[in-house]
Amino acid sequence: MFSVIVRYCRHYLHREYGYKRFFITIFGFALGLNIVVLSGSIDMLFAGWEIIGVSSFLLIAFYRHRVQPVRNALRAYTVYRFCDIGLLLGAWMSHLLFHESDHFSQLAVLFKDNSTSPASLAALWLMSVLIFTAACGKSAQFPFCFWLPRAMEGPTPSSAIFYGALSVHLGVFLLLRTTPIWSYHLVTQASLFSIGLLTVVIASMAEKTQSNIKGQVAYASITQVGLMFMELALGLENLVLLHFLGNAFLRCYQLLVSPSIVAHMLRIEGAIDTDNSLALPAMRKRLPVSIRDTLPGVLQNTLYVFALQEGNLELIVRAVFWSPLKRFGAGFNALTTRYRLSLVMLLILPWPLLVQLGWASSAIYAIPAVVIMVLASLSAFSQKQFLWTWHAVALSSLSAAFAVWLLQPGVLVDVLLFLSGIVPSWLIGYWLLLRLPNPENYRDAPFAYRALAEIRPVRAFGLLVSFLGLAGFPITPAFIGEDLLLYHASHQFAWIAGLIAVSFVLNGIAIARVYLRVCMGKPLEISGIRSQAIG
Amino acid sequence: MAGFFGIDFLYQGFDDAYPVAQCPNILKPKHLIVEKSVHATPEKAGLTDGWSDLHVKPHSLLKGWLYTQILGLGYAARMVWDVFRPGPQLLAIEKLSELNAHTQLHLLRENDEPDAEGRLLGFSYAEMADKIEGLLRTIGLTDRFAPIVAVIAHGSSSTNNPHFAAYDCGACSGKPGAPNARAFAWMANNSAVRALLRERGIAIPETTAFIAALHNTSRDEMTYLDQALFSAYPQDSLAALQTAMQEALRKNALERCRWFELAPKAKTCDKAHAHVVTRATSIFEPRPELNHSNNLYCVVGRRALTQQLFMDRRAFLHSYNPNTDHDGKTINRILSAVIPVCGGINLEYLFSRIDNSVYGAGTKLPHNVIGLLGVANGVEGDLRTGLPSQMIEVHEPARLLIVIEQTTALLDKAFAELNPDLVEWLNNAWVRLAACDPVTRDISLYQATGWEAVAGLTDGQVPTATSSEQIIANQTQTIPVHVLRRAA
Repeated sequence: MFSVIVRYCRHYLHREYGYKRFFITIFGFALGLNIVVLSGSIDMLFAGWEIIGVSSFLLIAFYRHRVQPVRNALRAYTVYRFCDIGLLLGAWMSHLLFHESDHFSQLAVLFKDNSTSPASLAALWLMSVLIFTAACGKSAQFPFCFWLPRAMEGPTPSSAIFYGALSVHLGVFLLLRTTPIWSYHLVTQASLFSIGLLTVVIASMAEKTQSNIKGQVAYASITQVGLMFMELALGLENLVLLHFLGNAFLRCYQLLVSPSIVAHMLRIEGAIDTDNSLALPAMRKRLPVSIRDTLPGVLQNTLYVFALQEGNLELIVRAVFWSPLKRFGAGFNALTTRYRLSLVMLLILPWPLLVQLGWASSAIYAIPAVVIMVLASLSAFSQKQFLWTWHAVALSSLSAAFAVWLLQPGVLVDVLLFLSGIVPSWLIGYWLLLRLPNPENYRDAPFAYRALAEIRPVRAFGLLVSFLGLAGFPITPAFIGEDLLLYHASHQFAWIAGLIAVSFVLNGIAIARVYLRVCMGKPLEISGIRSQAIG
Repeated sequence: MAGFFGIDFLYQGFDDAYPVAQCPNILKPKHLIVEKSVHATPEKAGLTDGWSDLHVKPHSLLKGWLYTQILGLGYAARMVWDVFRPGPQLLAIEKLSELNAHTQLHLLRENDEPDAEGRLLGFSYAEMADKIEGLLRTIGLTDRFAPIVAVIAHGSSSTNNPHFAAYDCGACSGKPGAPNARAFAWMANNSAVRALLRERGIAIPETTAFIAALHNTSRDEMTYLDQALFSAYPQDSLAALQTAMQEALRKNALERCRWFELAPKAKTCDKAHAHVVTRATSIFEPRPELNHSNNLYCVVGRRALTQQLFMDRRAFLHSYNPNTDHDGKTINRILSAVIPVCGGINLEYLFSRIDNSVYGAGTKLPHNVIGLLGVANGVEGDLRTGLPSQMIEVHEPARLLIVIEQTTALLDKAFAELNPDLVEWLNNAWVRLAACDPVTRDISLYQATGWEAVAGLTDGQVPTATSSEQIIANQTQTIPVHVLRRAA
């Protein structure tokens, strides 16, 4: 399929601005996909998963001049990043639960003996939830259905291969890989089934009201993936494989020929008095005339609006996951420096006191560092200034490392491994951000799109690399360090591992925004090169 | 001849659900023409029953689940086939441009009662004679008829292209002009119409036949319409026409190929022609053709004016006999078509090129068809207007130059009668206009303030060549006008 798409793109993108960039990104995607498919454990799979996420992000923002693709790229990336919590913690848990035997092929063996479980039921449930989160995000399942249609911003073939064919099925792949873990108990199977069912209900209704062809294909694909989730929950793995293949090829083809829909509808009109698909649905025709229209008008309208709003999933997700964090961070940022410092002191000082009084062990020193980490992440997440966000993210990562070192002083090497990826990325990024062209118009528009990718492509690439490094992308040792930090943190306080994972996710989103704002946008040529806000 | 041939009507093709206007957007046609099968029992293929269209039909949840599993794999093969072996089996635009030979147009009006919507079903003989006379007088074809007069419409076929209407005939509201050409040929061949024309001073000899054809501008193919009637036409002239046409199409394909970077390196007519056909049938081709992208001139006059000129496919040519137009009525009729149509085409490219993201539609690669109304870049956002960047990238921004073979004195007299809206085009220089004196060949440029004499190039200043192949060799930009001289 990939070779077909590449061959297609050779002509389709001929003479297009960004031809090389497109192919580099799409080959990056192929690399990530191969890693995912060939990986033996969740750690390795996570590396491929991240590469796919970033190449997807870059391809949605392929037309970087316009603000809409850039926004939608961030939207998709946010969902990806959020669901990465699932894999990040999942990888950590698989170490914790299965120790050395975390290879996928060994999982089945571990679980074969039904009498003894390799881990406690609660731990398995938690792990299943984490895996489901990861799978739902990547496959745009409930409640994350909304991002997929909006991701159709790149050239049509890239949408076809990502969101029609391959990327959208990765959730199913992950579930197939980890079947022994989540199929262990009826409750987890039932929850997977309900995720699929909810998705099918919402997506199949939303599909019918989509006014555009790519949105229709996207929701059709989500519906089929939802059905696959249900099939998986019922234990029909072979059927899922067949369904998987069929759906991937069909949606890819549909998206590739989606521009033909105009010609096709003209032909349908031509055959208007033959039996055509614009006629009543068969189900409705079979109903007795007397009850065909008995659905009350109010309910009809409600359902219609519900479908049009795509189940309001985006608003719900935003209200539940992001708004509280953003509000807290914004509140913190709104404080004056003095208040901010006093608040930090207030949160930090009591802990050493506890140790002094002999009420807690010295490991509790790590808690102030964790507090700083969380506050820095939240502050970065809702701050709209390049440098502040950049430093806050770095501070958050350094605090995380410091906290782990306080918890386990013996693992200094692993902590340094993590820092060896973070610190250079931070400093290079800082240096690049200091040297942005036209610093004088910062004050008027501190968070405007600056189109660095257009004005200074090399620096923009440098910023991309440092962004990826700081976000723990698998190009620096920080990627392995991240996993190790979580592993060590959990030895004392498991909840610290959770907080660290959440902070990493927030950091990733915050600096992705910085990267987009700095590098994307349209350079306006007024008196030489001077970048401005779009729209 | 191209365009709508001065015949404006609503046209309902054999397969069409409702009639569509076959005339410029500004006209409101009053006549309805229906295409009918010549066979008693029309065979209507159930287009939507076919298995090949499953991927474009809406399905219920259960059917979708079943089809996806069972047939999904089949699409793997189909995708590979379409991408590696492009062919015409896809959803090509074949509705209007590839006409069924077994139909005829219902042109003659049997009664004068308008239908429920106030449309007249067909034309009367007098109306037909008006239309034919109007066009023939406009282009100055009132005597010395050839045995065969070809009435050639144009249309374009492309695959997987939501912008296909932009490649068809603008004077037919973005549709192929084939129905108009068929109507014109039928009317001009009709003996009753010819009798009326004879009374009005246009004697079309018995030996002259009008034949309708459609030039597929993307594939460079000619479709001869109503071939059932061909046996009545002079066979040797017909054969000569078809041979000449074929040669012209092949050469045209070669000249077009110089703009396509992926065209075959070996520059032969056969390879070029095969290449343009592949372009029109590939699902991955964003540029099936480049249309009028670089049209710059519009020459209205006797064809001797442009004889032996190589114009790099950049000219609209309109026939006009300055000697028979004594009061300027004919030139006004021509200008009222040429200014909005050719000027409109030119400005469409010009503005789309000047700011493609505002006046144009941007690149067509991410375009998403919304509500069958238009395209947007993603799932949401503004509908895009203007032309996509793939259609204008070779356009060199310039306004149209209309050259009329007529004296300035007569043109002044004609412009006084011209529609004031069109005079604004000229006075505000949206198109540029020059007069070429029929006798002295002096050139004057029209300005709002008056005519301004322009020194023409002398013979030595115009580059010469012996063949167009020689001129276009290794050229990747627009080429200035050359004079073609046969090698001594």
